[in-house]
Amino acid sequence: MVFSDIFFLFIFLPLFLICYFAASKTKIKNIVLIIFSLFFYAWGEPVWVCLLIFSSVFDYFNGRFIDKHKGEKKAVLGVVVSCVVNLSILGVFKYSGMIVSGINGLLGLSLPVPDFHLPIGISFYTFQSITYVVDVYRQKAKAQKNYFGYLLYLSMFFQLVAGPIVRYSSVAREIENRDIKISEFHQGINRLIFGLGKKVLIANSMGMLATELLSFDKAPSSVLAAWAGVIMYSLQIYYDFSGYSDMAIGMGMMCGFHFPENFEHPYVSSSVTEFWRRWHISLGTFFRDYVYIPLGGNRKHQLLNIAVVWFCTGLWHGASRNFIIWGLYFGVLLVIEKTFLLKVLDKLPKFFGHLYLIIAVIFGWAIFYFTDVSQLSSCLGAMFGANGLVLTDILTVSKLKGSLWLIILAVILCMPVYGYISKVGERFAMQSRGKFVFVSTVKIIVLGLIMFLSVISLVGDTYNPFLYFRF
Amino acid sequence: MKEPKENNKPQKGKKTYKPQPVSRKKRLSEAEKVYKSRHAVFERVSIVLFLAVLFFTGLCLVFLKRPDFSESEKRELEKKPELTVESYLDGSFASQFTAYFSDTVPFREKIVELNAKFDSMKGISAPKFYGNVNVVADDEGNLIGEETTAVSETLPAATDALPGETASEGDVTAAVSETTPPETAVSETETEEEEEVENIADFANNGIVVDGVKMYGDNAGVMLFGGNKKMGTRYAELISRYKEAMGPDVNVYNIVVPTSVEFYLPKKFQKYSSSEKDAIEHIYNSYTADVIPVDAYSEIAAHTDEYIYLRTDHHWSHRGAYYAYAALVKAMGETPKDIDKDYEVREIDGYVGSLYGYTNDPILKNSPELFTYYKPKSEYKTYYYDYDTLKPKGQGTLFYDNVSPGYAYGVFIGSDAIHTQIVTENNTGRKVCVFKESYGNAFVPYLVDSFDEIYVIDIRYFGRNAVEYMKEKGITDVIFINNAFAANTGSLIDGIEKLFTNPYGTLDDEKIAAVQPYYATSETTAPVTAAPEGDISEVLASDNAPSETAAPSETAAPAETAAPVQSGEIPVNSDNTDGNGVSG
Repeated sequence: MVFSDIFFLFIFLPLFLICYFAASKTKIKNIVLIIFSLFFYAWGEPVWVCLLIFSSVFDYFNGRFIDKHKGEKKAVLGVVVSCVVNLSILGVFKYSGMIVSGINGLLGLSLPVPDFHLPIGISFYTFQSITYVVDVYRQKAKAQKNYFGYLLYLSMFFQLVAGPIVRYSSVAREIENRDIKISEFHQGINRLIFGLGKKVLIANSMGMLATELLSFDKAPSSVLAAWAGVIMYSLQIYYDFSGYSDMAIGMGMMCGFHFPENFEHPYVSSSVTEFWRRWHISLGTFFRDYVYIPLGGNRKHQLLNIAVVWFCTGLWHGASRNFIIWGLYFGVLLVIEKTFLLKVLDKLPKFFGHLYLIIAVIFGWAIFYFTDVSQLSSCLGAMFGANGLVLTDILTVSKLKGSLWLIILAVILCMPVYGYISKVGERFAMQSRGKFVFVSTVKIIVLGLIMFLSVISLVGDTYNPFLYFRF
Repeated sequence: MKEPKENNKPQKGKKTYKPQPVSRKKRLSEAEKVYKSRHAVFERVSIVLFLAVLFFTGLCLVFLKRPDFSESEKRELEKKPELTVESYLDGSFASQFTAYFSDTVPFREKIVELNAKFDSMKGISAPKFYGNVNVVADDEGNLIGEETTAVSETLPAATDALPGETASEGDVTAAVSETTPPETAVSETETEEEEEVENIADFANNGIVVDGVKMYGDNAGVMLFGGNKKMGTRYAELISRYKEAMGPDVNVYNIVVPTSVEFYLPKKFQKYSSSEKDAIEHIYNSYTADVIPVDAYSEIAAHTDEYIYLRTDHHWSHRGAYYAYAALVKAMGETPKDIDKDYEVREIDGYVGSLYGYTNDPILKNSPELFTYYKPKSEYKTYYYDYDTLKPKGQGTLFYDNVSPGYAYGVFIGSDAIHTQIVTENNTGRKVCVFKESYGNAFVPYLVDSFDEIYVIDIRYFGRNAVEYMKEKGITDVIFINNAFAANTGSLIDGIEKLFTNPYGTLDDEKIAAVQPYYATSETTAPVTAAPEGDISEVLASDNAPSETAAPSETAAPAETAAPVQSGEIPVNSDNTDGNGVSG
């Protein structure tokens, strides 16, 4: 099940809210949440839900074991066993096809290429289990004594399929005990609706344009088509993923959980270093805290550590060469920035930093989009007018014009305008009762409109792929 | 490497308060207090509103009646899947249920329409292209890059090219397989409707352009023509083979009909559509036998200010078909009847055709057409046969006057997947066999003024060897009438070839097996298996002379007007005006 779905929004969610708030004690609320989460997961993965349960049992006992032997060598064993098993499962399901066909290609063999179905959300919950055992080992969190507490952490349907990657230590306390404030419930609703709008109204439309502009036989139809296609894809992937994170965070808030922010207007960054602090934050910090620093961070063989981290980051996004290239591309840019570029950018007006970042990111998404290398090279070629390609063509222009207002809105909303507008609105609303009523009415109308348009779009378009679904 | 950012505060929905300068602190904190208490009320109100909407919509979704058919898309909506252990375990239940649930939302048609309106507000009104559009011509319309055009021998990508429909399991292709009309009363439109959807998938070889296209001063859509000379050559050669097989005494006419894109496409889009005139001339110049060319193109081109094509559909209008008929009659050396005097004019209002169903574009939806057709005044009788077994279905009506406006083009013959025979009271001594796709449906009725008998064979649906069949019937004239798309589309040309070479015509192996029991129980002439092309006349001459008597029913009289209804085996519906007899 995905969040941007009529059945989820109007059947699953209301039923869940009724049961959840009918339960008075946190313990019962937890049971309700587990049952709904397992149902949610089993909806899409009726078989591999077993894998999720296995993983939870396995790491529950690992956690107990590590806790029992804290400070001893045995504790390390627990961490190693857990990581090996978790990553092996991920490896088999996600990468075995790529590895075997890679070996076949290299050695000229024809081993049968395994074709495993990738269980939904496995990349996310595998990483969450790792944070648990490592946090327990580092004694940042207590081992969960109650199995269901741990199962709840791993299976919570808000972040199960597409993150954010919530660390055990950050929600450990809330699993045991949490209170739900009305103001937070209200904020949660806002996040949920905005997330839904980002996903359904903006990401889906941008995605449609991107697909149309970037599906070509030999080359895009014009230079404009290549640029516009990649830019539309950049917008799609941001709105898609951040909208989904917003919905997860919002629903968490409605139920008393505080998940970390996952996106902080990444496209306003002025360097790649900054971009990765704002883009998919929970993944970036995961790699920092659980890979980069344990490897030695910037104290020893920093270059190697950076290479490993970015190789893994790329690989995590998908079992295909282009994702690895994409990860390493950012690794290289980061090293360049570290050695001299950041200092240069600091001296220049900020505008140049933004321009550089945007271009770097757009090319990054081009690499990310094309799993086929020849397609990628012809798209990149087209962006520079290779083979005397025409600058524009009617078809592309008419497509872009047909969604012009939405594209402009999407670009504007990449910037932190929402915070600004709500601050202005708040100051205005404070002035008098009438003004307060006015601002409140506008808010309700805007939210209602977003919800209404999202729902008619969901009914109207059957086009509803979710990009990060299979990661 | 990546230090956590200091100000990672979420912007959304936060109601944090900035510390204010000390001097204004008191006044503001007072205002803040008031604001806070007001905001608390606002929070409660909006929570209640949200939950109310959520639960109310949920209840509506559960309890309101769900539609099972989409009239505008002309397709059956997703069905509720059955829950079994297997369907649950392989995940198909969940995915189908989700698809069903969102595909059959109550008031779907209204919502879809609303969404299309919202879509059109996303940007500036511009020409809108649907489907997979490629540059296929230069600015003068000359075909370029022959190999790379979208036209292929396999079905063009039209069905999977439409963005709005790709993701759904209930898309156009699914709709083709099982479609029933919303009103069971008009049962004969069942197959026609099915064909509507299929036709467009067959022909749409370079997408559709809507908005910015006008016909007769009103909004219209046109299908862009990809063109494929190689296919055109094949088409011409096949028709020549028919001429050779039928011999020098039988006239073979070929009419390739231009479509609306040829005359109504704005010049600036020319490179997305290649010249149909060139494609037609190419075919007319590629005959290898004495096929009589019919210059329908010039006749039609001379009347482009008249309502000769449907604006919201991929077909021509009945008036357009008249000009093709006029061209044919002129090629025969006769004078056609006058379209404005010699026919009974009928109208169906509110027609919105296949191009809307395909694109869901509100511009087309809001430009319905007045569908006009012309009924010949002469006397004639129409008989229908199953296309596969040629089992008689009885006498029917040539015009289905009671079709609902959504299926107006089905007024002619009613269906593609049927074999039609028309017997007139002319005494010309001429019997014609027409090979057509759906464009021909509008054309056939005009022929009742020029021939004694008219046999209509759809190039996709006919269960006999056509040459053999025509010789049995003593055909004197053969007409091929196909639109420029069809004459350039491999899958349709395949049909013409199969009719020529295969004993069972267009039937595939599965279908042949299915019709065998019928031939076994009835004494109807079964196709001569493995009929060698050149020997057909011999086979017939030795087994079945005179060939005219080999009518589908054993009791058929040897007379030329022999009609299967006379056998008495099937219900005779002589007063049939609404066409119900055909389905029986």
